[in-house]
Amino acid sequence: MRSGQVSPLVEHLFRKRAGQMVAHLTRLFGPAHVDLAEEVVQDALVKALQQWPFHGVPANPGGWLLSVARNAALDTLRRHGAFRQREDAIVAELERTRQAMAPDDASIDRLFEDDELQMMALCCDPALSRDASVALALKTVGGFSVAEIARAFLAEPSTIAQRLVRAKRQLRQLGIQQSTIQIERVLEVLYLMFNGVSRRPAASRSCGRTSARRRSGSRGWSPSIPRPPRRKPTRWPLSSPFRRHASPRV
Amino acid sequence: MPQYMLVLREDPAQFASLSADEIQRIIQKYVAWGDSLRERGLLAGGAKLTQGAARTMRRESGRVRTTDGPYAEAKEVLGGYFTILADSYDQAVERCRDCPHLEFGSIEIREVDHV
Repeated sequence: MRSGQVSPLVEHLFRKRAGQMVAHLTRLFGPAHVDLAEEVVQDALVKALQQWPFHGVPANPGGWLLSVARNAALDTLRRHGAFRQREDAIVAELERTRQAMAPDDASIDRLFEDDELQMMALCCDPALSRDASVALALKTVGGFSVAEIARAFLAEPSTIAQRLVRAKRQLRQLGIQQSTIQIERVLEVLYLMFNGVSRRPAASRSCGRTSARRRSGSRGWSPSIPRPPRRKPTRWPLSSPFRRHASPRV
Repeated sequence: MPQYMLVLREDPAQFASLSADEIQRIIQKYVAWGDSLRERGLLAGGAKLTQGAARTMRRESGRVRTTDGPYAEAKEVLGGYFTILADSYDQAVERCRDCPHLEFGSIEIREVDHV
């Protein structure tokens, strides 16, 4: 096992890159193939787990993950008949991103900003229930696992898993290609993501989005998507786990 | 000091449910565990084995048969190995106690025989 020169892993680097990669690949493969995007990304993370203990952490861990995911995506494209017609376009797009990628984190973040926003919009499509939107957003763009989402929502993992299956099936069956940003739904989902997945005790009642974003930075989920405009939503129809936690004074 | 081989096995089905955070945390633990052994001069070697392809050769009914992969029933696959130094099996076990491989797989410890 190679020694020394271990670059420290930035907190939640894997979760962040996972979210970016799933968003990026969902755009490339199409919303009907979210499952495939997730599989490719999970494989890349697992490869890191299998290799880095022996080979050492690479100098650019985020770049390594993206590179491995990209190669896995190319393999997937070739193996799946569904992509035959679009294969060239997708390959070109993967290549474009590869060339655009400088090794610094900030530029990588900027590169995937739009993809994350688009994924978020997709998750918040009005065709999906609010619970489905939250779960899907946490799973895809958030980079959380089914078990983590279940714990945060005090639900059974199987319930969350089913919710995700149904949501993805709806996206497929409705043939949704792209969703316009439903700003209220997105704000709602963001609020639930920050407050639901936070480990902070339930006491806090301030639900200002600025403070939520600041807190989320230390809690670990800091999406590199633009801050939503400050705006009072007209209602917060929060489901039961959250009525205990938040008093929507908006 | 005797050498002990740590044979690492894992069930690939487990990987699908590990979260990104968990994977990162386990990798960080590996780095810490490996560094700690290496700094004390206790890590003698190790290697990762490639996944996916494997062959098993065995004599059956007088002929050597070669099959793809390990036995079909095997849920756990061989991921890799480390060789560490320890005074005894007990001490080898102690040195593996915080090995992160245990979060998702098994470690078989075998003393390397020196003639």
